[in-house]
Amino acid sequence: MLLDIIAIVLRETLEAGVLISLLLSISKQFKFSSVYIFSAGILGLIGASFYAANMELISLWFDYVGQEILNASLQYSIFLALLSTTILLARYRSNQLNNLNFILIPILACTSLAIIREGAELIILYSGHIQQGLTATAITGGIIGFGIGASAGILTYYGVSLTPQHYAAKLQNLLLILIGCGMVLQATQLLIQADWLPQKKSLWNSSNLLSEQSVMGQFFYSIMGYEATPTSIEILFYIGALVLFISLPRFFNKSPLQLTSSNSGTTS
Amino acid sequence: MSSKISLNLFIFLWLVITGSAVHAAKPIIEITIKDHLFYPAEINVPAHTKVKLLIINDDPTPEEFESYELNREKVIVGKSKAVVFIGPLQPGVYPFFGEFNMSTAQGKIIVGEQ
Repeated sequence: MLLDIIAIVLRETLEAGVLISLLLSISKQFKFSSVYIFSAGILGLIGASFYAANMELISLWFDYVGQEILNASLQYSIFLALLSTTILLARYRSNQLNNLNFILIPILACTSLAIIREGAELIILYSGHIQQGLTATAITGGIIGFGIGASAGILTYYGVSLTPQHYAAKLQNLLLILIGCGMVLQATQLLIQADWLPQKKSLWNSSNLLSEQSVMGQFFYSIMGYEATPTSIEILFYIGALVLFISLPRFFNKSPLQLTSSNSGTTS
Repeated sequence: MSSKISLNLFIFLWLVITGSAVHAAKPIIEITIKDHLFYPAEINVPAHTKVKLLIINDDPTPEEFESYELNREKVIVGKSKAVVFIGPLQPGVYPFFGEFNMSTAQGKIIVGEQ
């Protein structure tokens, strides 16, 4: 029982923890006040409580698949916010971002959305335990699970913060892309579960190499949406997300001014 | 005018046929959660068929239906029901469990050739 609770709490905290730590390390680089992220976190908690309290009603939406649709929407939104962050960071690095505060918007959105998604499930888990009479096991399990998840987050934060500037940018980008594409993969799987997208045969089965149930499997699930038996549709959406992450920052990095000057350069 | 009617008729028939085909292709299987156990704990499902699982949580506490093999995960609050679509599946055994009560809530879906 203790191990079960540790595993659930760890999985949810790990996923949100790694993402929020990465966002914190980016906002620290721009000297944004941590009050903003903290406020976004509180907003996320309020949202998660609201979601948990209305879970029964939400589950009835869209002919009993409301939960899948809402979770998928949250995850696709996190993907869009991470994509926007990558684009804005690319513009900043090439001195094309006039107002640094723009970067703060997707960072705060991501923080709130990630806490709503992961927090709701934990609130429901604990509401059940409270109903049955909260045991020491449930509390201890929660503290240990949260502790390990938060440690992984702290490790990510210092890992990115202490990396030399040049490599830190690359590491941030890599993590933003991995987490963003992972979100798309998980959201797509939810749409398949809801029968909004067709279920196709799994393209491969890598559970012998890395089981989703293992600690490493869970870790890779939280940072890149690792799936041992993905289907063609999930892979297609994953590749689509990856293409957007690689192409859009380059595309938006060409300012209108640059485009005009290069055009006039060719005509003259 | 007549072509419009025949087009409407065609659309109507097409909807009836595909609608009934989709309905026929998705048998509904009921699973009940009671005292943190699944009833039935073993479910036989035909291969290559999409199935609608109707999971009724009879307990007052929430449960999460989860399966790594089926790639499914869904929270079912106490005294409520949920729908999870599975398949079309290859023949084999696909375990599932209740994540909030893993020590007791265990089950499997057995997919056999028809």
